[in-house]
Amino acid sequence: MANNAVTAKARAVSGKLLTRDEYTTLIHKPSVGAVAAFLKTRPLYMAAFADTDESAIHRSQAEALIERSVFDNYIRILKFHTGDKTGIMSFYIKRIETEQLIKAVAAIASGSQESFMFSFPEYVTKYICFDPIDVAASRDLTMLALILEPTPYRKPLRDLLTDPEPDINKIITTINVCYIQWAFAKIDEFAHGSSRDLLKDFFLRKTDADNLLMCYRMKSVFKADAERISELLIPYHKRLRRKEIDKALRLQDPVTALRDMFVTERVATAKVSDIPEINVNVSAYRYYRHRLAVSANEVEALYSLMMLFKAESTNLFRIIEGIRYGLPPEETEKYLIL
Amino acid sequence: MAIEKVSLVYIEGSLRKVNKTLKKCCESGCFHMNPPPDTSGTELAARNLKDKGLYERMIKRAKALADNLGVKLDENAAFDDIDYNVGSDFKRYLDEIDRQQAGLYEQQAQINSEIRSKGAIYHNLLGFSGFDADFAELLACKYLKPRFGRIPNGSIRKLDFYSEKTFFFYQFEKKENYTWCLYITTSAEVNNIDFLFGSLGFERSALPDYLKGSTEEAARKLLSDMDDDLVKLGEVEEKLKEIADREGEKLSKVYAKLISLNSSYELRANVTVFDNSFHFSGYIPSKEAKRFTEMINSVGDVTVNIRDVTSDDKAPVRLKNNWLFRPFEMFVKMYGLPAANGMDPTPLVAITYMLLYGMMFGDLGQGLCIMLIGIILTKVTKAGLAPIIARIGVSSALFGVLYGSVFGNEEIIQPFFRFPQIYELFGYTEPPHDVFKASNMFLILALIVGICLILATMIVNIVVSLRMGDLDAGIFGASGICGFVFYASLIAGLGCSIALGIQIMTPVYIICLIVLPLALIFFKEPLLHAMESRGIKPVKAAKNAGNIDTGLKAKLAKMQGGKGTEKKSVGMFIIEGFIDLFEICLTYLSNTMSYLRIGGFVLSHAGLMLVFSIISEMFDGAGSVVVLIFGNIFVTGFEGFIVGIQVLRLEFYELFSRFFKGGGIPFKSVSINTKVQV
Repeated sequence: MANNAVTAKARAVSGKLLTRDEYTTLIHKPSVGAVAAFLKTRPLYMAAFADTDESAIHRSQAEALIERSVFDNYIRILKFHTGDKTGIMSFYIKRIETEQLIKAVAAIASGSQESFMFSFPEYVTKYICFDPIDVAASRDLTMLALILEPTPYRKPLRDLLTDPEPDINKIITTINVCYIQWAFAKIDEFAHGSSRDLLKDFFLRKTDADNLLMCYRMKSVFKADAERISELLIPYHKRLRRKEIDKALRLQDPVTALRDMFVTERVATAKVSDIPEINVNVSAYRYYRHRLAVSANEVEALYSLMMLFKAESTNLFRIIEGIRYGLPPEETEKYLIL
Repeated sequence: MAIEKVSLVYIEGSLRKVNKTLKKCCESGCFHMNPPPDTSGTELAARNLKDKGLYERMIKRAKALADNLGVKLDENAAFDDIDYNVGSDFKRYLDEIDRQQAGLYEQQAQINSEIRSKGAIYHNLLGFSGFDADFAELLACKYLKPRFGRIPNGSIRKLDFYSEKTFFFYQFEKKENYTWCLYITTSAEVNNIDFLFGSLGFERSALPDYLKGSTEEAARKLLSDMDDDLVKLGEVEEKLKEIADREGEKLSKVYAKLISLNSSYELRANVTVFDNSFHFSGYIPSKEAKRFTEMINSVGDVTVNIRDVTSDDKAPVRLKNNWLFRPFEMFVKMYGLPAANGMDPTPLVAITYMLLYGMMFGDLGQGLCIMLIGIILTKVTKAGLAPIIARIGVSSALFGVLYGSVFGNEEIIQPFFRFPQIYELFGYTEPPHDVFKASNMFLILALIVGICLILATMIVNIVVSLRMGDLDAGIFGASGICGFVFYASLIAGLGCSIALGIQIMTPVYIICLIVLPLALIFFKEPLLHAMESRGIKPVKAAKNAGNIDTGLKAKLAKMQGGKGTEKKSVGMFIIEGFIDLFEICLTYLSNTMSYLRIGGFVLSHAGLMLVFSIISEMFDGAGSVVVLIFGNIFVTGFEGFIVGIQVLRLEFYELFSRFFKGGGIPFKSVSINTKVQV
């Protein structure tokens, strides 16, 4: 029954996602306030945007409210799960926790703890294993290591954080690995046989896409060297083996080689845009939409829904950015994941 | 069966008379205007007259002025006493109104804006309830900067992180997502702290510096100010009302006149201008020719030419029927207007509808009730169905007399089937006790009625098709001469042998009257080609013209790749011919059987009333009467409605499909319209 309840609820909620027509309406909105006014009328965003003053709302506020809506909707669906709420079903909370920890590490390393505090979503505090105020108050990574002592991150991170010359890339990779390992451990507890393999594949598929996108961005935008990029790779894969990425990174024209990898069957990207990132995201979006429609597994259904939410919030951020910076609607439309 | 005869009218004249001429056309109430001829690709220096709507702008302006003054405009107001005739007259009048109300309207808008603004401040102040210091004193501080506003609840805990910064934070009312609050900082730190709070999602409330005292005092003062503003607003509105009372009626008349002038302006799109003269054409009912010519000639410097329409003209159709049949035009229009050279089926529909309804729902009492409802609805509403209800009520009552049924009671009047001449004719040896005993008689009668109606519509189709020169439908169609001969002969042959015991179906009879018509239908295509090659042009049948098209032929044509006009093989011709014949014969059978429902409904009506009669007998006194009343209401509403739909179905499927040739254009008299987007 519980199984069916979460799956059914996830499917029902997916029906409330924005439609293509609604996106078209949104990209033609003249201001962030108009977007907020529109979202106020949509069921998934109604509650979070209810008290907003459209005439005064600015970009970061709107984006924070969108993220808040996604989180609230996730918590609402999670209530339908009658089993262990700290198990694999809490993957989204764990993902936010690791993301915030990565942000905290980067902020402490660069001495911009205040910016971490500004952007920290306060509503997740009660779900995660560290106190954001304590974390933000850390003057250095050694102090962060002390704060993380009572958390599951103590063991994998202690040596890295207390190193006199800490390697930030390695710390970030380790936090990402923590997430995958946590997910796998929870999956092993939760599922057996083919169901277990299917769920693990589900997480690894995202790792493949994340690794490839990270390499492409680091190479094409930051011109980072192969060694540095290699350090950031999450050492898990589904189809995209690490040695293939390493090989591509060491070619004379690694950007083209990576771009070619996007269109290989290994990451099975859609060919809807000239921007590789859009293609990867669109492929993922279509895949998760399909999985949500056919899946009988509650984790898979909820995970797929959260990925669809993620795509929708990315779209909304792009629309808001487009409006904020006066991008023509047809230009914004190119960046939408649909 | 009349389609009103129309005549084609050409009107030409001096360009300066065009507006007056168009206005007269509108006033005539009988002029259907044609679109302008396409002169592109010709060497004629002609142009269409449509230009920018001078009056549209004035209409919008008059509407805006009326909105400001609160005047309700009536576009149908009589404007005979308004002697403005040119644009400048109207403009002067509107300018004058504008001058009178201009300052007042701005004042009204300003006061409204102030009230709204103070209302918003008041609303914000409510969030700071409990603040007992003086706003004015706090806001006037030189070295301290207070900021009133609201902050997301999630950000309040984050403030602990900034506890070393120079600010004082105080919370007022806490809502679901936000908390109303105040922070005070020093003027030296104000930029940093403002940035900090801004980053935490703080939204500052705009509080004006004229606020004095505590929250409660300031709120009271604001309410008092708003009251003063309302008084001022009332005074301004009073002055506006005076202008409205003084000028409202005239403004409404001016507006109506502008609308009227503008409507003839709209018609200018259909006028062609050539050599400083205008030309346009249209149709009028022929009987109105004299009156229309006189009206247009009264404009002066205008020529009117009227001629009869030919088959090449796309003349519009106006149905013309007497008071009894006219309401049934609604059903005909529902199906489609008949072609201009076709036939108006309204009288046929009216007669058959009333006849079939009465036969299927014959009851004197209920019929009279339906008639009364129809009459009342006709008086009270303008519903097109109301007069039809009145007419079918009469028919139902008449048949009720024939069936001897009064509110379901069959004892009061003797029904027709108990007369010896009738029941003996149908083979009964004694009078049937009730309708159910006479069920065979009703079913046979229903079939006879159906056959008569099918034959009648076939005759109508033959006449109309031959009149229109459509030999395909008129001669070879399922409802053409061949179809008629076949169907009538078959029915006559079977009828004589079964009912009368006379064998008339001899081999000669069968070959000449049954096989030969079918053979002609089968070979109609080569025969039509032969006729065409000898100069007799068979007009292609119009949609549903005498052929009941079930789509089989179209599907076959599609299977051949849609090359219907191409030469087909002998095999295909035979297959297609047989399918056609099979389809036609099947349709004759199904159409005829379809009329059995007439008898069926007679029985169902009697059955339903019998049920309520039995139920009523279970009660005593008032209960019995109540059941009977309820039963009659139920049967009248429920069965009356279903029978209405069934008869319409018979009309459209069994009758119309045999003869109706649609495609007519409705006759639309030009008139004053108000299509101006204000």
